[in-house]
Amino acid sequence: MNAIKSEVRKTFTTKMWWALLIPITLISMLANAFGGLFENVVDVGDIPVALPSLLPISLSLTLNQLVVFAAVAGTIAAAGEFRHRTITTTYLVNSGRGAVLTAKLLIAAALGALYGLVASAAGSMVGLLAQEAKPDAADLLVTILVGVVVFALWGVVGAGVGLAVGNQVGALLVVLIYLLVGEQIISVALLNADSVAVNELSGYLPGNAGDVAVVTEPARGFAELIPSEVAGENAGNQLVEALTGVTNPPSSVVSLLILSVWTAVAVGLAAFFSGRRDIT
Amino acid sequence: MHDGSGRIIVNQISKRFGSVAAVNGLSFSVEPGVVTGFLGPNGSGKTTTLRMVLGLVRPTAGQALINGVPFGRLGEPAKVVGAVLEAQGFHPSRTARNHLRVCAAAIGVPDQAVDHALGSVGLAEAAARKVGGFSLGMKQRLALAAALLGNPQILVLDEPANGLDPEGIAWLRTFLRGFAAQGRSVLISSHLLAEVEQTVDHVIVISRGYTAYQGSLDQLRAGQRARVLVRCPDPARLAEALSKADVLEIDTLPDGRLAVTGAPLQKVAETALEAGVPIYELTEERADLEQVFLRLTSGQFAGGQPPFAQQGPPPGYGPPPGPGYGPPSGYGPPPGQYPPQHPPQPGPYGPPPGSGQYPPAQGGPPPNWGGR
Repeated sequence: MNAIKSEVRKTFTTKMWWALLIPITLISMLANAFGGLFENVVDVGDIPVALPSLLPISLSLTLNQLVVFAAVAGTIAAAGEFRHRTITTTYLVNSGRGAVLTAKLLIAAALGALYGLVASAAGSMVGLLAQEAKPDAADLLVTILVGVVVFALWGVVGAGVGLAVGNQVGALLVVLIYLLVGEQIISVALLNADSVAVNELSGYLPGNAGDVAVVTEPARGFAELIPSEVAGENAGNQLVEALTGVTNPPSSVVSLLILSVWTAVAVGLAAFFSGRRDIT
Repeated sequence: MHDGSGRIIVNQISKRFGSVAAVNGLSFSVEPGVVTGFLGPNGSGKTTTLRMVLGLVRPTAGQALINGVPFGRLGEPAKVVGAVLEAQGFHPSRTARNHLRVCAAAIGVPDQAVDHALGSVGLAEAAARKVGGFSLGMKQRLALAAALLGNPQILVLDEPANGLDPEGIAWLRTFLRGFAAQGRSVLISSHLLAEVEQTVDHVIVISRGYTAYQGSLDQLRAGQRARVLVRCPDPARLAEALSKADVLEIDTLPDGRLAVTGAPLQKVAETALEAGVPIYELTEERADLEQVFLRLTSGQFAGGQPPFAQQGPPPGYGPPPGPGYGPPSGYGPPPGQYPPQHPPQPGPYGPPPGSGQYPPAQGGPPPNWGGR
């Protein structure tokens, strides 16, 4: 408990936590104005059906773009201690390295969840105001709930990488290069294989798993609103495939489990390396 | 749990970083009630040793115990041992008070302890300022405040005088002496003996990862030989008389004084009287502790003072040639030459070359001439 209280104070006595909230809020507000813009630009009379609310879909896609901030926040919160050499003091005053590790991972999860909530709140507010068509409340809430969980998990992954690498710049490079570039390259390689089984592996990558988890419910809900003679059979899954680039994506729950396993891997690496590291 | 003794025991501890042996089988103990100085040149393994004691670095072999257990099993370590280490960092945009609040929460002491600690190191007025704007001395004080938060039984300080002004050093000295006087333990490292000479009771001297000396400072002082410095109008005659009286370790200082080792002051005075040499000045000089320290840590003289020992009559004995004589850059008499104050004089003027206790023998500066 002492370690957690200390980590909370540590996190909220510097600017990082709210500085990262600024781009998160702005991007989410801009991106979720899309439904309203779309409604204004497209002549609704040309479409045989009423345009459904785009908010759950646009919010889910926004969250997938912003989840990197949760990972970055977790990484900085954990690895910043190595950069500023405060880790020495941290280990001297806490009751053990295990307590420090646990507290840091929990704080990273909380910070990630906070970012997910703020992004959802800002985006939902703009989306609800901008578009006349209102979303199904359950769809929107499920999107937000899954998004917050995915943000929390990515916060933990970031902190885990930070503690495992033990160097802020190195850990940030690992997280950012993987999330922004690395996973795309691996996905393309997997999707270009001839075997469907290999194609399906793309759904087991951590970034894709989080994306699929967040997008699946709003995509299915959106597809249900379109008459099946227009959308065709299995439109929900096709929409998820189109939005995430994953072949035969697993369900939302399975995808969350996949991301949880990756999170556990990061935590394991963090426990292994941070328990043995010489602080010189 | 720990035994509450306030004792640190380091037993055959070693640390290798790759191929570099930073610490080699070091053993020592730190007792409560005294200030123990941990001395050695830079790079001798002090910081690594202290970090092993504090559980920050894993020993390759051996162990370090605080109150009978390794640091990691102290339970609430900051309530047993407080530490101020070199390169201990602060987040530049966190205020001093917030830094201590973070520590206080981890230690499990109430927030009132924060203001008390700030006051006790003289930082109360800077409490709301960001640490990024602090001077090195203020950071040292803040680190000390953090170390004191848990009201520990043992204090470990690594080079605490760095960055402190003379007033701060004097304050720290008084503080540490008071801390030890309460029956608590202090371990303080330094690369300069003079810096901690007035603070410490016991010293542990390490050199290249080995223990070179462990014991009280008084013993270290007492073990040193004194030399007698004589100013007289005819040093050559006095030197000859002394060597006839079996006093063989005689040296000439650049200012013309004789430095006699291995004979008491009285004997030098009596010999001079018998030889009819008037004496203008006669002083006994104890070896500077810093020199002792240098010899312990480097294994040989490393400059700073002329060697106590002799030079044999060199081949080129006589009036020195023009260029190149005189003490170069202030380091003792030039080897192989006499200072110009002395008339040329044949005869033995000390033991033969090579018989002395210390290098240099004739011919050139010691290998580490002028350097440390």
